[in-house]
Amino acid sequence: MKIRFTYHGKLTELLDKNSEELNLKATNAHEARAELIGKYPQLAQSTFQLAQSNKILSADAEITETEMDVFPPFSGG
Amino acid sequence: MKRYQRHIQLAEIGAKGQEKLQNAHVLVVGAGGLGCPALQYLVAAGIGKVSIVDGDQVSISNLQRQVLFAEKDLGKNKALTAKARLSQLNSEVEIQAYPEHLTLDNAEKLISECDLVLDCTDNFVTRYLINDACIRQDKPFIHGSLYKYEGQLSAFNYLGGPSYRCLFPEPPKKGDVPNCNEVGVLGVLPGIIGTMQATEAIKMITGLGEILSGKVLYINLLDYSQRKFEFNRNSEEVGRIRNQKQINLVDTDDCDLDSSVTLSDLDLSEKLIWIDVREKDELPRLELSGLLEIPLSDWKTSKSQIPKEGKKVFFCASGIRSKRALAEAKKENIPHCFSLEEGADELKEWIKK
Repeated sequence: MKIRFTYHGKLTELLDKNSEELNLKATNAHEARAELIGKYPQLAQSTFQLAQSNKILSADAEITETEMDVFPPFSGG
Repeated sequence: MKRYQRHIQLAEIGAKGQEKLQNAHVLVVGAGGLGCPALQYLVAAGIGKVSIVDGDQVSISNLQRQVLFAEKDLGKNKALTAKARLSQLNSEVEIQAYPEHLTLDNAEKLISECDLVLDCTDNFVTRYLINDACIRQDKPFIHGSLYKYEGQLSAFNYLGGPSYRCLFPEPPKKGDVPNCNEVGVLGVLPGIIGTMQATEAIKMITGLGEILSGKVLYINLLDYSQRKFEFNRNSEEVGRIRNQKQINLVDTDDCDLDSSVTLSDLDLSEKLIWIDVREKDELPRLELSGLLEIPLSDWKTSKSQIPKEGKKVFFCASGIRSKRALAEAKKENIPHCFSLEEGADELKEWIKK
C-alpha cells in the first residue's frame, strides 16, 4: 500500500526530508512503525507517534488511509 | 473593573467571566520562553492569583526571547524578577514567586493549591512530574513545547480528559529530543505558543470556546502549517499514576537538568560563582571575581565551601572533570550548578575579550 508520510520536528532532520511516499506491507500501526524503523534504523531510538486522518493510532489500529503523520514530543520551553 | 472593560464587553465573557478570572489561581512552572509571554497575558487579564516556579537565573542568551527580563536582570532568579516586573503591570494580581525548581518535594503541594497549571518547562523530567501530580490532584494543565520553528500545544487532564502520558506514555531516551539550549529556537516561537497557553487558560477559566483536550496542536512557523491530532485517554495508565504510593521521577536526563553551558551562554556581567575543579598546580591560573578553587580530588573536604545561593559554573581543563563535579553537586542537592563545556584555556581567552 502506498502511503505518503509527513514527518515533524526533529524527525525531518533525522531522515533529511519532510515527507515521502513509501510502499508498505503493514496493515496496522504497529507493523507500520516496525517497517519504518527497518527502513530507517536511526528511528529505533526515537519516540514518535503515528497518526492518520488527524487521529493518533493505537498499536493495533488498522491503516485505512494513504496519508500518515509521524511526530515526536518536543522539549524546549 | 474598568481596566478589564474590553473583556467585559465580550458577551461570552462579560462581568461574570471577568469575576471568574479574578477568582482563579494559576500556577506557571517555568518563567522562560513560554512562561514570560504567558505570564504577561495572565496578569494583564486580571487572574486573581498567579504563582511562578523557577529556580533558574537570567542569562544573556535568554534575552532573545524571554521578554520579561532586561540586561540589568542578568544573574537574578527568574521567578523573583518576573514577579517584580509583573507587579508593575498589574498591582491587583497577587503574585507568588518560588525561586526554586519544581521537585518531588514541592510539586504536589504547589499544584494542590492552584486551579490549573501551565507547563512552560523545558525538560521531560519536570513535564512528567507536572503530569503525574496533576493526575493525582485532579488538576488540568496546559502544555506548550518547542522545537526550533515548531510548537506543540495541548490541554491535559481537563475534566477527565487524556494526560500527557496518554499521548507519550514513556519519556524519550536521553539525547533523543534536544531542547532550545542545544538546537536553538526562533525567538518569537515561545511568544506565540506561550500566548496560546495563556489563551487556553483564559478559555478554561471562563468557559469560552473549545479546549484543546484530547487534541495536540502542531504549528510550524516556516510555512504556518497547523495540524491538530486527536488522541484518547489511556485509563489504565492514568489509573496507574493515580494509585501509585508516590510520584516517581521519569528516568531520562535532558536539558537544564543536564546543565552544560558554553561560554556563548554566559556573560561576564552576570554574577557567577566560578568553581575551578582542577588541581591547584594546573595552568593557566585564572583571575575571576567570585572564583572558588575546589580540586575534584579534594571534593569531600571542600564541597561545604560551595554556597547554595547563586549560579555556579564548574570548569576544568577540558569539561570532563567539571561534569563529574556537577554530578557530585547534584548528589548533594546543591542548586543552580552548571558545567562549562570549554576548558580553562578557552575561558582565559574569553575573559580577555
